[in-house]
Amino acid sequence: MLRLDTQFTIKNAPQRRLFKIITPQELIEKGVATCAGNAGFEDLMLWLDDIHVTNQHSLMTLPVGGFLLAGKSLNANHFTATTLSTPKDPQVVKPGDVISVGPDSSMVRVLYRRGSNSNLLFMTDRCNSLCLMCSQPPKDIDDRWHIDENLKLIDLIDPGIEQLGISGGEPTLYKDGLLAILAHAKSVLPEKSLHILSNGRLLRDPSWIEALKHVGHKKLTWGIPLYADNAADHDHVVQAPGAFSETMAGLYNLHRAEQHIEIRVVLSKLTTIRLPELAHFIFRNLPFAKHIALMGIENTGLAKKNYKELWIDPADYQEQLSLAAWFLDIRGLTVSIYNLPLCVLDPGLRSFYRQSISDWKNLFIEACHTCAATEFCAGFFKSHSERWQSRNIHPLSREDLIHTQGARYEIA
Amino acid sequence: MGSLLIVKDAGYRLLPFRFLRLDDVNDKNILLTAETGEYLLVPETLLNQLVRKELDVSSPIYKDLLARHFIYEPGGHNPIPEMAAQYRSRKGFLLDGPALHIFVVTLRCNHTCQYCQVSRAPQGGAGHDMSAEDARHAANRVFESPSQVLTIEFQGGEPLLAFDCIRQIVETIEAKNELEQRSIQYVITSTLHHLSDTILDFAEQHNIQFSTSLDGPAFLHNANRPTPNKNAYERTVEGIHRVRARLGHDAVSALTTLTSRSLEHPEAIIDEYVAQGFNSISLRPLSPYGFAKSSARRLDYSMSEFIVFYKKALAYLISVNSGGTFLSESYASLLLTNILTPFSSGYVDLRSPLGAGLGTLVYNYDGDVYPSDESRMLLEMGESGLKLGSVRQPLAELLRSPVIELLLTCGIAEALPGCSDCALVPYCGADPIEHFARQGDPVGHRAFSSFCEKNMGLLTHMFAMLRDGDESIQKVLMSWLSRRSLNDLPSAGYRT
Repeated sequence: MLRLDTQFTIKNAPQRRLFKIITPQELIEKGVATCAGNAGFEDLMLWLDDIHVTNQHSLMTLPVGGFLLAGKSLNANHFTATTLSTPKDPQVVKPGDVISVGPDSSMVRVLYRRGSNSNLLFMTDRCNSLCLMCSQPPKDIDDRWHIDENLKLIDLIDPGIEQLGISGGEPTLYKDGLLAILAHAKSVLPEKSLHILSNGRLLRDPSWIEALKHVGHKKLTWGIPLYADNAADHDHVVQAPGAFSETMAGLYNLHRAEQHIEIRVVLSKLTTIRLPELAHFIFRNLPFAKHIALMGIENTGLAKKNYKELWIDPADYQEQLSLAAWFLDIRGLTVSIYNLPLCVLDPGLRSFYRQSISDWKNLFIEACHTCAATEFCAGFFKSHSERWQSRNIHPLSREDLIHTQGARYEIA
Repeated sequence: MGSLLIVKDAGYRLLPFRFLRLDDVNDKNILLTAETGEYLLVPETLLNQLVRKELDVSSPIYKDLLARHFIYEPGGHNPIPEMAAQYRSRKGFLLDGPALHIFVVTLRCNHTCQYCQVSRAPQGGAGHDMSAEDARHAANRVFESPSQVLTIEFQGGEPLLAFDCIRQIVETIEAKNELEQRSIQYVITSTLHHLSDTILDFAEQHNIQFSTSLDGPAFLHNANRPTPNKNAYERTVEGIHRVRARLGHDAVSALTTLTSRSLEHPEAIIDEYVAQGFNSISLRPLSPYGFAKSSARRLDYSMSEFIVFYKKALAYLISVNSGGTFLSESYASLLLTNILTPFSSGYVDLRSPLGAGLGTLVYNYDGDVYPSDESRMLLEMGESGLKLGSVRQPLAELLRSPVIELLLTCGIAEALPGCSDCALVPYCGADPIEHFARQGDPVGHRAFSSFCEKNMGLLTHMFAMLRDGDESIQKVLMSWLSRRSLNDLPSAGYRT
């Protein structure tokens, strides 16, 4: 687990802006071409290490936007350029990353981490639902500035094929901003697939159909949550009357716009009781869904407050999970199981298992120290606590792995 | 009695549904089916509560009925968009136009089968092959269909006796397809007695599949299919081996024709298919066409005898599959798709609106065009009324023929007497041509309809198996639905 922010000593940062971190070597080899889109030297922040101490002075005459002094023996004095030094955690910011630096705080946020599996364009803290298990409770603020920040971020990240997430909050709240971001990503990062997390409710407005067709992003997937096969149960989970009807209408509009659709189900006491019936509903009514993700709950945010209503030991829903997963798999829909420790999963479900928790928020606990499977296991969210722990957590042996999982895991 | 008619202020309203009593052996003996094919098996008491608005709204079955669109709550969630999506899934085949194009390249044949569904001319007979000019016209008709996925099937007679005609048609279509870029599959329906290296070379080059007839072990096949040397079985099996050696194991499939003699040997027929390494078998009753009708007394059997045979064969097939051999029954697989998925199998005989003409076209050797294989068989019996026209007319004109209009008025099962109230109609089809053949009336009377008897018998049997079958039976049925080996199915999943 590696955090996405840390404190620096910051000099000369008159306004908030983004920088692409670049080493002198990469600057010589690629220059601004290290960024996927339009970027100037002022967008680059030169990464200087202890090995650069002898020619620090001449390097700091380069016309870049800033300097990150990673080496302890470097001198932080520069007349005009933004300068970062003495990081609290020196592992957080690395060459290739895109960071946000401003005058209001010594905290530097990593907006893009080179090589990570979980880079995200964060759209807004606002949301029109208030899900009982929300891990990032919404805030009622005007944060449209995220739109411009993301447009700039797209320019600065690395070209390449890794997936990019788009999330919030509810990203569709800023419709024009989201469409602009999709269009910009398509022109700057055509090789990157995009994955948007949305509750789909606003997509009931049919004007999205033409708009999304017009953008025509071919590698775009919408991850839309559906929590029940009936309105009352779904609306209760998302704490929004009418949400089920709106999400269903949104899903049909996405299909009309020829979008790729993933259905996401967060597994809780409320959603697992009719999970096989929900699988049936999805197959009958949304057979065009490309992927069904069945996901363990993240014990943070509102989930903590609603523990009593949500908590079910995953050991107690494995049968429902198995009935639902095989029902869908037999009928040709792709199923994945996310965010569960491998040792609580019914061994018959391992072909659906994905090592899924984002690299900046997964961890292992004491019981995992003697486990042979951690390399294949999603582990726990960083927010993990004992009352959210299954009674079935136990170390797996090499034999467990070889016997129950087949060749794919034998390399362990 | 009067109290039943009072509409209570229940929180829910009914959506259109049909129901049927399956049997009296199980508590859940009522089959409820919604317009789009969702279903539930429930006790009779529940049906009564449902229609009397007495359902317990906090019960799981209430949520099931809501989620499967049997009921809705006024002012609550509107299920119409979901029902519309389901309807679109189930009737999606209508948007594609004719996808199966059958070319009857010759009537000549070396067999003298008594039950022959078609008709035949002697092997050396003249004037029974499709002319080069008609073949060229027919190839043009194929591309006038909007369907992007096309199957070109060659039939006879024995089509390999007119291989030059097949070659001309394939080459014409391939040349046109360089521009059209459709997905095209070729199939030759043949006894495989007349294979040659030239034919196999050509089949390999154009990725042509073969479909043959294998009626069971030698004693059955040779009795069903007389040839002068009494070796039809041996020559067909040799042909199967030759095709597989050259084009791969799955390049040949087989169909079974069942005579009354066959009905005594379900296990021997299935064992023969296992021995020959097939992964599907098609247990079809004799059709009421061609020579089969005139020799009915000697070869025919009642549909109820067929259904008894079919159930016996299916039980044996399931035990064979449970033992680790994958061998699916084609019709059962089609019914499973219709029952367990929102889609229609697309099978021509199980479509509503009907498949003839809308899904299939037949180009006869003499240049006439028919809406189905069966309707040209009627022609050979002396009925020419179902001809659409000539291969020289454009497809749009052929599909405006009065025959198509007649077939359409009698070809929508949901609107036919006897079908419109049937709980099985979402999974069934309309076959006005068979009703015309058997009853002289394209609408027909369901009480005397063997089409109805067959599909009622097999569909209710399938529902009973889905309800009562143990996990091992479920797994076999799911392996047929998904066309996967049992080893890949550790669970049969949720049973709806």
